[in-house]
Amino acid sequence: MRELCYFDNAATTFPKPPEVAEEMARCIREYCGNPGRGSHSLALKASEKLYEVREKAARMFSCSAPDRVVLTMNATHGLNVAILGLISPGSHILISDLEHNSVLRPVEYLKREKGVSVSVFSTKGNILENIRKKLREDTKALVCIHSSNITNKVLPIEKIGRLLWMRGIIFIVDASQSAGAHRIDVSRAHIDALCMPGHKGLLGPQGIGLAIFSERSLPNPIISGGSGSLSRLLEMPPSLPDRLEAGTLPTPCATGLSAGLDYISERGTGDILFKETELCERIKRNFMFDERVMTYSEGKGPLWLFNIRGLSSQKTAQLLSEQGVCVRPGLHCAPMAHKALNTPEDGAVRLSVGPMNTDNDGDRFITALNKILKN
Amino acid sequence: MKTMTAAIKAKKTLIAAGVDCEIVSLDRNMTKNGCSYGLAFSCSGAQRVELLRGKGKLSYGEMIGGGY
Repeated sequence: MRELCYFDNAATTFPKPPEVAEEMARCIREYCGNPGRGSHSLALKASEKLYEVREKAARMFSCSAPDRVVLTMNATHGLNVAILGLISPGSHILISDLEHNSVLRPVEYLKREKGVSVSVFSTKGNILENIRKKLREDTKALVCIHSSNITNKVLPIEKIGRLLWMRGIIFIVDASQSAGAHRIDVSRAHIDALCMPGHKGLLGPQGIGLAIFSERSLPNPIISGGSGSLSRLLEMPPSLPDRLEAGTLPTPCATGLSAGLDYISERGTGDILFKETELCERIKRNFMFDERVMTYSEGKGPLWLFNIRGLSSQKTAQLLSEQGVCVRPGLHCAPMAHKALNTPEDGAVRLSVGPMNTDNDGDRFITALNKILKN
Repeated sequence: MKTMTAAIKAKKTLIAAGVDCEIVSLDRNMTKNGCSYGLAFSCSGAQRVELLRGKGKLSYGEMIGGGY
């Protein structure tokens, strides 16, 4: 099989550090009991492994209590838990113009079914001023992406958090692209719910995510069921994390995520982002004076959103794929953000650099794109 | 402890304080709402556990003498 050149890390990082698969296999082989169900040795070991993940995540994101780290299926699940569980019917909320469908769709549901009114703030120019202009007396929450999935824009969450905290407004942050790459401090940024997938920058497997809640936020559960605790109650337990973790948790995935968190802690988030940015910038520099290449993404970072004049994004991605290069075309589940960047109807090609990409990958991409441009 | 997470948290607190302990499932008759967990430790650690409880370092707990 031809060696692949993988540049779709914003969709999911690949490959993972070998320790991730090794720990998952060890879990399945040696200690995969049902966590929180009984106190025999395997159930206990699995529970303790889950607690380890909560502790590591709490440390990484400066959360003072590991029990406020809730294990979810992915970022979308976490965002649904936060958005549907914290925002009350009839209230007013703000979202940014860069949101992914993982925010847009639950928000649209609230709008349609629960009478929630929604305002969109622009991320162009002075973001804080744009937010201030949209705030209303009845604004109850602001939901926003931290780092865009199609451009290199990073929202100033600490400044936004301070602005909201002073007004008692709930702050929900989608850290799908930033967790593992940027330093996030939930206390300093006054974040009430920080949601992220395990399989992107945290380098874990697919099937697990994290949602970290502040002391003042206790969402209503959107899924009910067994929690292994207080079983005579017909409602979910009152305390976190059990309140939001109905059903058996994916222990093997959690242990893989745990290994991913170790890897990031060892390399350091700053170092990872620096190297990703450096490689992405080197790739972009090769095409910046070519008039046939149109760039839509802004600023420096690990993403490059582009198109080749005369080719649809799908066609470009297909031609790259034929040369073993993996990138993603289209709208990247972020139609509103694409509109804000003025991409064509069929979207654009996204190259996203990840922690495992090498200079050699960069050279291969440059050669492949040049080949397309020559034909 | 009402949940396994709370029990693990408490176990770590006790072990850090030098009290060796184990998580156990509580007898269903001893819990109002079912499926709760406890920490079993030897009588010699009881005083230190009380102290930790007094300082608010254990989120929840009732000391049950004997049986575990």
